[in-house]
Amino acid sequence: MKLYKNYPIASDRMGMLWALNGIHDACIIEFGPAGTTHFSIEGLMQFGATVHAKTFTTHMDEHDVTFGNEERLVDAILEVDKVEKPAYIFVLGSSITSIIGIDLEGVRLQVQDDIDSQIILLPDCDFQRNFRQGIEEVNTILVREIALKNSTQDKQPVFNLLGLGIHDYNHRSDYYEIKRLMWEYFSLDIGTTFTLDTSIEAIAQASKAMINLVVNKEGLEAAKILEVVYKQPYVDMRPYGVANTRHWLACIGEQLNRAVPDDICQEELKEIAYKENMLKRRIKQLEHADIYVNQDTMDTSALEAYLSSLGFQLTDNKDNACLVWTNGIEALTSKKAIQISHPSFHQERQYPYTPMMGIRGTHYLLQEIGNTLTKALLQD
Amino acid sequence: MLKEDYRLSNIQEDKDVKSLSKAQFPGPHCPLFGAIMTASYIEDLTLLIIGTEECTYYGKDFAMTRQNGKDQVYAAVLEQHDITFGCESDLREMILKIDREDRPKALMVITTCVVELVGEDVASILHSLREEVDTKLLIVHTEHFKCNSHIDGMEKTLAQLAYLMETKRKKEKAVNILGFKYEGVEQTELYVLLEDEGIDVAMTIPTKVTIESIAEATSSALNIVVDATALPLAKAMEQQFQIPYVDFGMGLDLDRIANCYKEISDYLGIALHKKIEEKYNEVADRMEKVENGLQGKTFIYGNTPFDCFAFSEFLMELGMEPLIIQCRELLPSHGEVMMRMLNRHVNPYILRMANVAPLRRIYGTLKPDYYFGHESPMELSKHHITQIVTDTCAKKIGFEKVMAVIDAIQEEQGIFSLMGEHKKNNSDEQVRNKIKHMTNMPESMKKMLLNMKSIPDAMQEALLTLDDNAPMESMMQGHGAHMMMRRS
Repeated sequence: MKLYKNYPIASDRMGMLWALNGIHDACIIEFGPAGTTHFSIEGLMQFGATVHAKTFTTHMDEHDVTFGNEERLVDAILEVDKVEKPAYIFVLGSSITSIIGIDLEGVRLQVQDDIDSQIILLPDCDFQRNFRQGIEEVNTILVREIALKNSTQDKQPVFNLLGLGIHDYNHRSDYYEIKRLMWEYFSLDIGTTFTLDTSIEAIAQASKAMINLVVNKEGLEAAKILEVVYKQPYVDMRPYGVANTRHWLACIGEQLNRAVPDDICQEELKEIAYKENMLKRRIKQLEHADIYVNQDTMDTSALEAYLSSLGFQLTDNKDNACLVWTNGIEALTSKKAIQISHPSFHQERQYPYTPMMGIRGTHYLLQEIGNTLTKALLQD
Repeated sequence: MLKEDYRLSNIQEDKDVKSLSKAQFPGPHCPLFGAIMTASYIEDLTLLIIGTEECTYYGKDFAMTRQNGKDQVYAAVLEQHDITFGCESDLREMILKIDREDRPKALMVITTCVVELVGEDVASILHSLREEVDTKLLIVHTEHFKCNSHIDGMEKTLAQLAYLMETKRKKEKAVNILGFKYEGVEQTELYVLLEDEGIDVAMTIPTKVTIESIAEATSSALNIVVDATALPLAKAMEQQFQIPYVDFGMGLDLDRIANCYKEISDYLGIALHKKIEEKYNEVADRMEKVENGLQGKTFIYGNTPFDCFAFSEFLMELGMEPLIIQCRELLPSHGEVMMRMLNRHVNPYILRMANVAPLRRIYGTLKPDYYFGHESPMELSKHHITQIVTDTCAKKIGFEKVMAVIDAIQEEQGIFSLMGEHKKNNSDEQVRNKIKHMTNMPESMKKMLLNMKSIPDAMQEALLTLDDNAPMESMMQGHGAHMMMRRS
């Protein structure tokens, strides 16, 4: 058992629900006590995400628990199939059904022939995995169970984005920046995102994309499957900073067999490169350039690499750090904190033009770092 | 969808109350939610939630939002090993660590579904620790598969507070108000009446207490219970400290309110008779006046801070007829009201609450005039159903509560008729001006209506998940609904 004073690390089950809730027309049935469903619906709102997926609960009582009764789930599946008429029904157990050993596969076999919707079972809780593994699981399931079940599409001028989800604190802005860059540099529009602001139909047509961009490792396995089956190349990188973004664009160009146009955003790039150099000089002059990065709720390796390239040193000692990269709770109270992850607390995140990735992301990030260093300095 | 089996005449016990659909949305809150909501009124009470990442994460999230980041909530997260072999030694160490490092005055340990399912005897573990720690240890069991909603968690949490109390010398002219969950108890009818008679309201539990002050609660001569969730606490205090209680409840029955005041007068030796009679007559007159306008109107009972049957019976007193009553849990006390309804030849459908989605499919065929409770106003206005939200009425105690409910009906009747009219005649400005002057409506609801063109999906969800036991405004903030308002 682990003791937490702050937020515990979210579980794989939570991650699976977060990922599925980025799909507008997903229908989800949870087999378990209603309270967790209710909590999860409320929890989603704090991500500042627009949620359209429909999540239902069966609820459970003592009789169901004692006798392992699956009747509620069977009835719920039949009803959702009839009323909502979804293409797929995602069925998810709970910690209780995992412990009492409910055979969800047995339920699927029992009702699948009686309904039009396809049932997709999600894995049981094993009380060991975290939310990121749950998100990865959903990404690969969506590819295996939906994308791969559809016939291969002719290639269109679109790309797929993998690994970005509503659980990403800055998802809206980063999504806009990636879309902007892909359009301006390669004239490619978005095909689908696994799993953000998307639909079952868009996922089913994933094969028409010319390339897959993986920005979180939760999307990597799914990209590998798509590469094998559809010969879709992928680029696995989270672009922070000017050099990284250029490299990322070059990799995409290489995979697409296209030269990266060099006359786009040149002025902007020059200005950002200048700002980046100025910030490097400032960091060099700092007495302590130690920074702390909270790794609890996201993969921070790409960000850490970029911050190191600016001249910061990573430390585990939060108290002595000149900057703290962390969640919304600390960011709200500390003048030396920059928010990079949830949870957020009484804060809005609707404005979509403050990316951290890409060209404009670099510009914004440099500004945030500079301003926060000043604030921290004044605080001292 | 609506079957004859769901009729009141066929309901004998709780299991007869069915949900309108098997796939529920959003479903009721769990007792863990109720426990945290209640415990978080007490600023210096430390909580330790034992459960999965999910329960502890969302529990922390909720407490933090309610207490503006100043919560004292720890999470003990179960791992595979704990489920197979138990967690006694880990739990002991954790409690000792919290006691040693944070020195809380009291630690409330909350167990959740999985802990109870695997049969971990947390109560015994706590008992064995009592001599080793300075903090007072309390326990609340919140497995959701044993109950229907969060009410169970609220009751248990309040009842545990009795363990923080000590025997004190009695003050004859002091009372406690139990179960009041809002700001502004000083403005309530009960408080003012008692104050005028020189009675001291020593404590309002849980909203105006600390761990230290709770120990003093036994010095009061009487407990006045204003919410059913505080009844187990009142009973525990009666048994352990011989403090009698008067159960004011959330009722709207004028005779019962008058009787409660009489009981209080008798216990405290004060003369409230004349003032009570005046208030009784004033409210009775008001009820008579509104009866004409409401006679024969039909309604769906959704969710209010009041008991579903008592509230529906009150509306029947005003001449209205229930078509559907959504019920959280059938209680033995409901038997008498149900019988009275049947005797008046009223036989509504009784459905399990917190499942609004399927109701939307029958609004068109059922055509009720009113919907009492939380729903998307736009969904209701599509069917010309007037929505009445009575959240703010729960802040009242006594006859003023009845008056507040009538005011809510009259005011919101106005808004919704205006919304209907708006489609035909009135300008945006006229509608906005009318809404601005509504006094009964929570501020956030008012803002939302003032701003909205069409209601976003997420706002609909926020409305659906609002809870009747918390002020609407703060709940909407908690749900991030303020963001939706601006976006709309």
